[in-house]
Amino acid sequence: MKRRELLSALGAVGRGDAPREYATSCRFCNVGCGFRVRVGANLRTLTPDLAITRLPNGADVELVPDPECPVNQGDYSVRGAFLAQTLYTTQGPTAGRLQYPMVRSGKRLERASWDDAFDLVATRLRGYLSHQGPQSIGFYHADWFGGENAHAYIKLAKVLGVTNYDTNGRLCAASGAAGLMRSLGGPAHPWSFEDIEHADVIVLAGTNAFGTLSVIHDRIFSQVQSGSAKLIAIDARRSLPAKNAEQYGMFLQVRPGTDVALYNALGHVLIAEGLLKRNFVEEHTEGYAAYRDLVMARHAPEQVAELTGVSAAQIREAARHIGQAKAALFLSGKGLEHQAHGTDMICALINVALLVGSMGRPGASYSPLGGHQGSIINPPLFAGQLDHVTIPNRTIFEMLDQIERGTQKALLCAAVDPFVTLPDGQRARRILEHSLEFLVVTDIYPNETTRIADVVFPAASWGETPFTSTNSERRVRFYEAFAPAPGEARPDWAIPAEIGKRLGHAAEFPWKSTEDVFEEMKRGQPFAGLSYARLRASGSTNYQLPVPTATSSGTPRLYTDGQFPTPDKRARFWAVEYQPQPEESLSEYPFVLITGRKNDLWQSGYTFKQIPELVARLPRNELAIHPRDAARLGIVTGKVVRVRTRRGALEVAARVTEDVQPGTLFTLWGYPGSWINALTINARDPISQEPSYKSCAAAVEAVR
Amino acid sequence: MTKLTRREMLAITAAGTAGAALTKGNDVPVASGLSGGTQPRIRVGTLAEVSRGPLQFSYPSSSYPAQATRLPDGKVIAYSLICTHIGCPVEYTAARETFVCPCHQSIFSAVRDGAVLQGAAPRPLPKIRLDIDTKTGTIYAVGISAPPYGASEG
Repeated sequence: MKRRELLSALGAVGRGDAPREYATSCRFCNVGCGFRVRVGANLRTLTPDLAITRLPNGADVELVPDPECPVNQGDYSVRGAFLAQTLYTTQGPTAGRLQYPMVRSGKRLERASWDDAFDLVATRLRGYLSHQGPQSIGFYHADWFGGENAHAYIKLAKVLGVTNYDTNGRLCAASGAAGLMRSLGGPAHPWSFEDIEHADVIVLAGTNAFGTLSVIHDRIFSQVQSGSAKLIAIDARRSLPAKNAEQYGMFLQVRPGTDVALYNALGHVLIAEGLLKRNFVEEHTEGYAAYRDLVMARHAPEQVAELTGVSAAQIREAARHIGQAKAALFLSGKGLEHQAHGTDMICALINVALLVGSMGRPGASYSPLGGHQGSIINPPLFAGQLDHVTIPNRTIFEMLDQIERGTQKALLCAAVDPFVTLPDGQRARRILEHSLEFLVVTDIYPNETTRIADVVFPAASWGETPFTSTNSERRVRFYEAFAPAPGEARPDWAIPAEIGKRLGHAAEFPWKSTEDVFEEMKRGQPFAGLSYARLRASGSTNYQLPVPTATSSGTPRLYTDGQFPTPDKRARFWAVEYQPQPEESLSEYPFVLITGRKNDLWQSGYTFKQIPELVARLPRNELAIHPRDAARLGIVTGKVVRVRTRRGALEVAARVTEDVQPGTLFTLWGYPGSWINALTINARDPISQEPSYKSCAAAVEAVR
Repeated sequence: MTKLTRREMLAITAAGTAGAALTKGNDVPVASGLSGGTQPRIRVGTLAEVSRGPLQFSYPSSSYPAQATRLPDGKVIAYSLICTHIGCPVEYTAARETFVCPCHQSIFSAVRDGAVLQGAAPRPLPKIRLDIDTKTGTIYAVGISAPPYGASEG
């Protein structure tokens, strides 16, 4: 390209030789690391060279972790390392992005104009609404993809009177939100990441933070490695945080699904040995007496040792570390959420935190860590509420039932891949493919669900359109736009907005820009004090919610005054007990199959599989099995095994390791082409409706 | 003094090529300090010395610590000692033939061209190409598979 052509091409993003500079945040997990962006001609970067990529308009873009961002302080995960490589390019691996609307014609999807595609959607929806009513259509979208986009879908649901509405937070954050709601009165994560550096005991329960939230793990590792804190890891699997805990604290290898009994036993010891913070319990909590009676009667360490697989001595020692801490920080992961009784597990862990007054003080708190970020308007959807105030909603699982019964005809999806991600996937696929009449999918890449869609809309993604979300410490992350979207792709919010207009609600969708959506959605919200101008001026730091006014500088942690958002301002103890797994692991299916994550692979792998270097790091899915079980079944590392449940089977390479317990198996959730949800069970927490991805009865045998 | 076999020579000269293949295959210029063909020839030590224990040196310049190690099978290998994640100095674990970063627990293989075995490090540990004078047993560092973390053309 000639220099003049290049400069002309750069017009949209930068002119001349001085690169334009922006601040943004990583597109992936609930940590939300800050990044610095430079866009310009012929940029040169320091190694690793992955930080730079060339955009279709000829400009180079460089993304490096921001040393001044309080979240990551220059640190990054392997996902963050490859951020620049996830941007759209015309020749690279990301060239397969969706570029144009497509409409089904027989067995094929064919390119259509936006106008024709919208016309088709509006016509079909109008027909369903007038003949079958609003319950014949439903919405299901990501809740990480920006509050502005979620706001547009929520608004469309409201104006149409549709209550079939859910987000993919149902699959991973609903029990955390429900547990927080039950115990503390509100679903917001109360902590601040800086609590890590103030804690002298850190409890990691059911989380391989190294494999999922690397930068949080790095901060925890620094704290425990320096001797400033003890690490107590509670997990079914001996992942790296567990190994670190063996060196810098202690590791309790709990039997899958028995966490409630273990936490209650910790409570027993704290009470029996007088290690609880009596003042906090008396002044700021409710329900202690019933909880005390339960754990004192039935949860002595000796009473739960056999069930949990953790010795009474270990339980006592862990409880003493927690009880003697100046500031104990409790963090939980999917090990507590992807369970059929996840909300109880969360509440049982919060009980322990309340006993020692771990709430609202520096270093002393509880939080679920979460996977992806939450949309800013979305204290994650608690079962039964559409907009955290008034409107009851039906979950994606209720929608599947309705579609199967024939009472729901249409589903509009955005930034989700339910064909792959829903549990008991064979049933979900059958319903979506054969019982659903009309499926509209908005996404950034073709995926399994777009393959069966009637209409596909291409979305502008991270870096191509601004949006906001929040990380695990309630820090708003402002995502800047600095790169062109592929083809005709539009911001997600523009799609429900146009559908709403064509269905006769033009006055409700006046927005000209994403910023217009933000200005509307912030009214009455805990981020009313923010604006795009204010967010941009704050670099990649942004603000921790609530930020109620334009002069507020944000709120580092919640409940510092011991006042909780319950009617009596007190937190709640919940006298909950262990409940068995939804499927007993018996003779024909003697193993417990646990699914989980690894940082190279994000969710269903929609960015992972585009990047050859990432695939090379994790070239295949694996099934971890204990050496004792492997020897009995003639299974060796690297050989293919078939893992089966009552619902389906999957062939995968074996990895023999003592990191899993005898009788348990572990494999990756979402590895592209290794469809684990053909095996998982559709068993859900009764309160949150979050599915149990981590517990089904399974069998395994060597194949070759 | 240990005599160098032909197999050892081949192992040594093959070093440092695999990592380069992982470099991003687009045409974006990457500053490296190496693009001008300035991969110096630096004396590391002797086979006798490396047989007694790892040799520390710097490559491609004094800012970048490196280490030559003789593996149990007799091969002499050399790597940059700067983690490709954030630039912490890595430590060699002889028992596992790995380099471990004490800051964030990335692990690199000393026998698989510095491949990342664990952690956030996005790139293999840069492998240093060695040339060994068979007459004197002197080891020279003559090239590196990728620029060490943070290197630039300046």
